[in-house]
This record gives sequence, structure tokens and C-alpha cells, in this order.
Amino acid sequence: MAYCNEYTELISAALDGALSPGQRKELDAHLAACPECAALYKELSALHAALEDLPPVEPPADLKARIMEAVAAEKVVPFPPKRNDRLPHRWRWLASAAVLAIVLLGTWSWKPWEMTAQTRQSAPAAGTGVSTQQDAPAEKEKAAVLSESPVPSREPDKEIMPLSGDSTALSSTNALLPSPAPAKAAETSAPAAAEAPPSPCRAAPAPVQASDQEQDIGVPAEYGTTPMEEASPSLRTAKILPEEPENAPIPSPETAEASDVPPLLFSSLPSPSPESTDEKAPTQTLTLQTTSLPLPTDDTALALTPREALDLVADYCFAGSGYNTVREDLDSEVPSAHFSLEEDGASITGGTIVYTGEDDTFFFFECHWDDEPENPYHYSVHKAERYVAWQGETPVDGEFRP
Amino acid sequence: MTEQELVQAAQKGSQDAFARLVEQNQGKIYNLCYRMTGNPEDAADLTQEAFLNAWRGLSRFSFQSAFSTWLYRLATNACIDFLRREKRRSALSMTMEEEDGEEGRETEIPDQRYSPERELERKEVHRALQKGLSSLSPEHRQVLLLRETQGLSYAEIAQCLSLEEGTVKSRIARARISLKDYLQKTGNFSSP
Repeated sequence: MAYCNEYTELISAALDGALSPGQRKELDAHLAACPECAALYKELSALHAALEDLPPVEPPADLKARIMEAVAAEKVVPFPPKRNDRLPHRWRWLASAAVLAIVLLGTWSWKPWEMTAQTRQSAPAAGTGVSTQQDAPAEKEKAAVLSESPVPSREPDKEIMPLSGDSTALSSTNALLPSPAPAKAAETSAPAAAEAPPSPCRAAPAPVQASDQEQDIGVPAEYGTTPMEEASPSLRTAKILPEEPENAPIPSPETAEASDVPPLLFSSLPSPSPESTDEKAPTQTLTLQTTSLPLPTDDTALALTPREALDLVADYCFAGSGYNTVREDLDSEVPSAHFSLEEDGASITGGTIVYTGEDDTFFFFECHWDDEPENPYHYSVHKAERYVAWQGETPVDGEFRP
Repeated sequence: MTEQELVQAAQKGSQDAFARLVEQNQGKIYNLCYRMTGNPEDAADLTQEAFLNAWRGLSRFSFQSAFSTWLYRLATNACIDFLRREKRRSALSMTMEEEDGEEGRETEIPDQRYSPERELERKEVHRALQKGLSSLSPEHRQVLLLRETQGLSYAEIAQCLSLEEGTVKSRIARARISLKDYLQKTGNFSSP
């Protein structure tokens, strides 16, 4: 039905009794003259009545007890709070990662996002993984698998080290080491690591090696169409450049804010692993700003660096995906989303995006959210056009173009 | 004790006072989370998360809104995050929602006014509505539920979500049309 778009709000507001007398008069006059809008009014009225008729649902009888139990536990458990094991698997409290995770404090769109990296550094030694005693066995696996095995599927026993709140295991670097580390397989270091104080200090693994390493891993052949379970080729490593991208100015926060795209700021605190063989160890602190990058107009577009690609994926995961989430809880102790980036193989915190390879036009990322350590999410980043697509979604649905 | 007194007591650490606040608000928060997710277990978890966030963040509540408005904000934030994660597993989540929707019907309070047949019919309508709600984007679902099932005014919703009232109004209008279109498309809504 070809109702009049300009009257839909008035019709809707009329259902809520939110029209002034003048507006009501205007609407009534229009409805008398426009059968399509009159029909829409009737339809939305019926819908309104049906929604109001939705019956209340009874909460579980023990809900209050569960809540108060959790509240009581809050009192006795020192920061960081213990993960609530009573919750279903996918609802582990993110607050437990507060010390160990990047906390998303900002809001989408019109305000800068700020993420504060908490101290959380990767486990030393290639192939060594430390898992929290609380995490599922799957989380004890090495990210190192990336350097030797095909694109990870959703099997829990592979690749990226999942990062839960209490996990002290971050050996994702291993995934990016060119040569298979000897202890790549699931190797669990002592639970002592998991019992470490809130801010365990572990050296970051060696940085990602350049792509001309022994293990030439190709990007999965079928971007965007291959179900994760079918993803096959192994992944290439590439070095993430420490310097600023050449071809795109990094905006100041003010500029970024003015451009309506939130700068994504975070600090990572990887420190070189003592066992690192790479001379160019990552700096102690990296601050990235992102996505006020100009759209490509020439060949410089192809120079999108891995870091820029990481930034794009970060923005996509957090701020894109079609949701316009307003976050005002800037000072909330409990972050509602965790995100971390892995650079030079050093996983920072929380969910992990690992730069896993490139070809001429794509970067390919595997991401783990810290509340789903065994489920990898895969994103591709189109270098030339600077968009991110979630593998598995159609490009239309899954693109984020800053 | 008034709500303000309860909140103030809870801010000083009184778990008993907070428990009273939970009693007074868990129903509406649970209902919101249930309608947002279509799943009773997720709704319970999200309700718990909302209240736990409230407990942790009590010191930041400054009585500029009703306590429930603040709770709604915490709850919808938690729901939105949850739904974003579910979207990442979109194929799976739709299936899950459908299954759980079946279970969810059992938590509805039966209305004794209606005959069993009519009650069954109503339940079918509710189920279709819930499916329709689940088809909406989280932001549309959020405003529509706060308006329709929680009864918040445009001003209260605007305060809750930190939006302009105009944005709330237009978002609700779009949400209603999206819902109507979905229901018509799936044969669950015949024009009156």
C-alpha cells in the first residue's frame, strides 16, 4: 500500500496519544482524504492493541535468589570479581576481565570510544599456552596452530588462545610465528599462572613475522561464501607495521570526532618475549586511532596496512554490524563489550582479533570474543575499498565501510 | 520505605534494601529481556546481569531518573550486546529462538477469561508477535517494547536511551511498520 511516508510518524504518535490537538486535526483531515493512510492507521492500531495485549511472563521463581546470590558474591570477591560459574557458558561475566581486558568505555558514533588496556600480556615461549583453571579445556589450545594449520573452523581445540576474564594465556603470537613452534599443541602451563594476581605480567610473544616466511599460508579461497566449517587453506603471517600508515593521516581525536566516526583508541601493553627472536619487538605502548581514513581515490588505497585493517575490523566488530548502539555508561564498571587486538602476535586482552594473512586485496581475520572462546568469527578486510565483511554473511549484510 | 530510601540504603551497602528493589523491579526487567530475546533462559541471565550491573554501579545513580528507568537502560544495554553476539551466529540463533519460543509460551500467565480454544488462539497470536519482534533490529525492538509492553512515555524512553524524543518517535514509527510488514509477509497479520 502506498501510504504517505510523511504521515507515518503522526499515525504512530497518535496511537500513543502523543499528538497535540492541532496535529490530531491535521492527521484526521489527512486520514479522511487518504485511504492508504487510513488503512495503515487501522493496521497499526490493531498491532498496537495486540502488543498491549501481550501477557506478562512470569520470571523464574528463583530469579531473585540468584540475583542476590550474585550480589552477595560481589561483596566478598575482591576485584577482579570471580567469574560466575553458575551462569550458562556463554554468559561469563565480562567484569572478571576488567583488569585483564580492554574496557570499552565509549559510545558509538558521536563520541569517541576509549578503551583502556589492562595489563595482560601473552605467555612467553612459542607454543606455550596457559589457560585459566576455570576455562573449558578448549581454551587451553594454542593460537600457534594458525601458523601450521588451515583456517580454523569452529572447533574448540584450535588456534587462537581464547581469552576469558581470568585467563592468563595469551600466546596468540605463536599463531603468527612463521615456523611451527615445538610446543604448539595444547600445552597447559601451570595453573599457577591462572591464579596469578589480577595483573599478571607476561612477556608478549614474538611479533608477527613478515609474509615471506616459510609458511606461506593463503587466505581462504572463498571469502564471504565459505561456511566457516569448510574454510580450508592455511594462513599466512605478515608483519604488522609499527609506524603510522603512510597514506592515510591519523586523525586527532578532535578531527575524528568531528568526522562522526569514532576514533578507536586503545593502548596495548605487549612487551617483548624474552624468547623473541625478532629484533623489532613491539613497542611498549601503542595507541591507535582509526577510521577517519579517507576513502581511496587512487593506488594508495592498496597500501592499507595491517594495522589499518585491524582498525577497520575493530570498528566493525564494535560499532558497525548494523547496530546503532548508544553507550552512555562511560563510567560503568562493567563493560558491556570487550575487544582486543592482537598485534605482532601479542594478544592483548579479551576477545582477540588475530591478523592472520593477506593476499592482494584482502586481509583475513579470525576473531574470538572472550565470551565465546571456542567459536571463531572470521572477517575479511578488503584493502582497496576498505570494507570489512564477516565471512559467512552476504557482502550487503556484512559490510562495514567507514 | 520509598524507592528513594531503598536506593539510598542500598548505596550504603544494604543488600536487604537492594533485595527489595529487585523484588519490585525484576518482573518488568525480566519481561523486557524476555521480549527482547524471546528466550526465558536468556531473559533470566540478562535480568541477573542488569541487576548485578546496577549493584555495582549504584554509586553512580544520582536520582535524575526513576530507578526503573536506569534499570531499563542497563537491561537494554545487556540485551543489545547479547543480540549483537547472537547476530554473529544469526543462522543458529533464529533456530534457537524458535525452539525457545515454544518453551517460552509456557511462562505466559494463562488468562482464565478465555475458553481453551480462544486461549490457544491468543497464544498463537502472541507467538507470532514474538517472532515478529525478534525479526526487528535490536534498536527497533528496544524502543517498541519500552513503549508498548513497559508503557514508558516518549520522554522516559528518551531519557532511558539517551536519545532525542524526536528520534524515539520516529524509531517507534519505523519499528511498528517493520513489524507490521513482517507479520503481513509471514501471513500472520491480516488487514483489519
